[in-house]
Amino acid sequence: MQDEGLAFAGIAELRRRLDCGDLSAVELAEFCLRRLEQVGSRLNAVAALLAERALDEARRADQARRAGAPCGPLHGIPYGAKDLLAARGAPTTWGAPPFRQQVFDFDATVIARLAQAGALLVAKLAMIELAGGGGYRWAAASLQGPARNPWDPTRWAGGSSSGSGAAVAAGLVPFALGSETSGSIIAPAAFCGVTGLRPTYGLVSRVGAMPLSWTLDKVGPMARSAEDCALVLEAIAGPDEDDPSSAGRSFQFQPLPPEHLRKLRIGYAPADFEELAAEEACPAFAAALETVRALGADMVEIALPDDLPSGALVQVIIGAEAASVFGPFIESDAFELLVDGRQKAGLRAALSISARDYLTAMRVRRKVQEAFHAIFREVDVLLSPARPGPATPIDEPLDAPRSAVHQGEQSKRPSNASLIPAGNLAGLPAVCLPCGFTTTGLPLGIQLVGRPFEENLLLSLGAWYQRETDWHLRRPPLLGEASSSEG
Amino acid sequence: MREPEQHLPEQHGNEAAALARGGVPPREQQAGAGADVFEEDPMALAQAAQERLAGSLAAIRAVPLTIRDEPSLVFRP
Repeated sequence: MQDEGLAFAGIAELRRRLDCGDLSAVELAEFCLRRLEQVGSRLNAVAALLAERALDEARRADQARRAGAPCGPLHGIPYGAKDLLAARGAPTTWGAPPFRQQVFDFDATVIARLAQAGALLVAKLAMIELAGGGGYRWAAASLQGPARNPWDPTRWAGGSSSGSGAAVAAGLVPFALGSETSGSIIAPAAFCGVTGLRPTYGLVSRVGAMPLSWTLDKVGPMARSAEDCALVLEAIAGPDEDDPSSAGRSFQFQPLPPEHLRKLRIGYAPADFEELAAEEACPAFAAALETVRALGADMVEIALPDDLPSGALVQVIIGAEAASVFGPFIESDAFELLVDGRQKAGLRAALSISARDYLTAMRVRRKVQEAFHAIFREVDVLLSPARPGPATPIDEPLDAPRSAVHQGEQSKRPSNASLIPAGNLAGLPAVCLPCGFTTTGLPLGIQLVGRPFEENLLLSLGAWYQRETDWHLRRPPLLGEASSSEG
Repeated sequence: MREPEQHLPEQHGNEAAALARGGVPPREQQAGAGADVFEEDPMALAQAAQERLAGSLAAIRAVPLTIRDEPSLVFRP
């Protein structure tokens, strides 16, 4: 297999090569470390290379395999982790200049669980400073600078799990960990053309992750396929008595057959695919909708109520909780070292959110949950574009108007345009699947949102979609290879 | 406010690469080097942030609530 074939191989293929002795874990780790250094630095995707740790873990993985020890699916597989996750002895900067010297002496639970599964932590990956909790304006709102999109380095990789999206898309690691408070896995997955999973709130431990919003934060995988996300989720999900949000559940992927999936009721709002999508994205979104329709499932037009201010709720709940987490920091001189002025202003403003306003927001939040309860009595899954358009140019403000929806034009038809904040408010799982390209060659994604703890259904549907399409197998031309349809 | 490309902090990327190679934090940042790279007016940003927050709070307060609408303080999906 050529270098680029190795770079873009999925977990199952890498495991097959490790099992047959064609490749050692040390060789694979060295390969990833080299690409992270050479390609990752060009993309501003890397916060820190962890060569010593990775090679030590790789040597132990090779020894265990040679000794005939039981080896799970991630044994010897390298990965990167968003730099908001603590890794013992390594810098954990949270993407923010004031925390550039921060080092923890323990591993986040998810990193410890992946180590137990034999996976190799090769790098901490770049992120938007403080996961963007104050509302940032620039792609450059990161200690590493603007994360460049492997499909077009003049475009942004998305945020706040920027490096995780870019590193998987560029073939630097087979999978990465990201986190989502509201959109930080789904958006970079869509922009970078990779598969991302936002787990149900409470399924994956957040111990060792930077807290931004205790009632919204989730940790999840970004990978080459839904099946690879499932393998990672199996390893990282599970009870954690140190995490008050832990639901006490584990996850095991049991793919549902097409005959089961055909019985699903899939909800969608036509306006999301037609009026509210960027013009250059509409053909790909229409094709994705037709692919899903061809499954034979019952397609149901349905939308969230338009009188619930999900975006406002997310702002106030994140703001109030982040103000509690970071209050002393926000009031310190070091706060001035943050990169993004809009984010600083947003965090300062959040200090003024009253207990009354926070509690009112939490009361209204329950109405969002109730709205989903009603929707999920009618359908099993919600489908929408993950983002209405492609990755934004890195040198343009992120709040610049770009499409009809951003320009304030409201669709007269019902839509699920607020599905990311609303889905996060309700703690629901979501998967982002690459679904094609704009007319200018930028990747696009669709998202599937399900009931709490229905990751198995979403990933089964995602795996089916990825058997019917090859969008998830395409490779960025940046790496010297035209888009491929192999496999 | 200047155009962002005049201030795109490539130095952050280079420092990240240095950090990456060594796996340890790089040199101490020069005072203020990371602050507000786009030189936006902090007063205007602060006012805009307060206005955005006020708008969000108004939208939330406008949702009718009854005495039965209790928050989930231990959040469960």
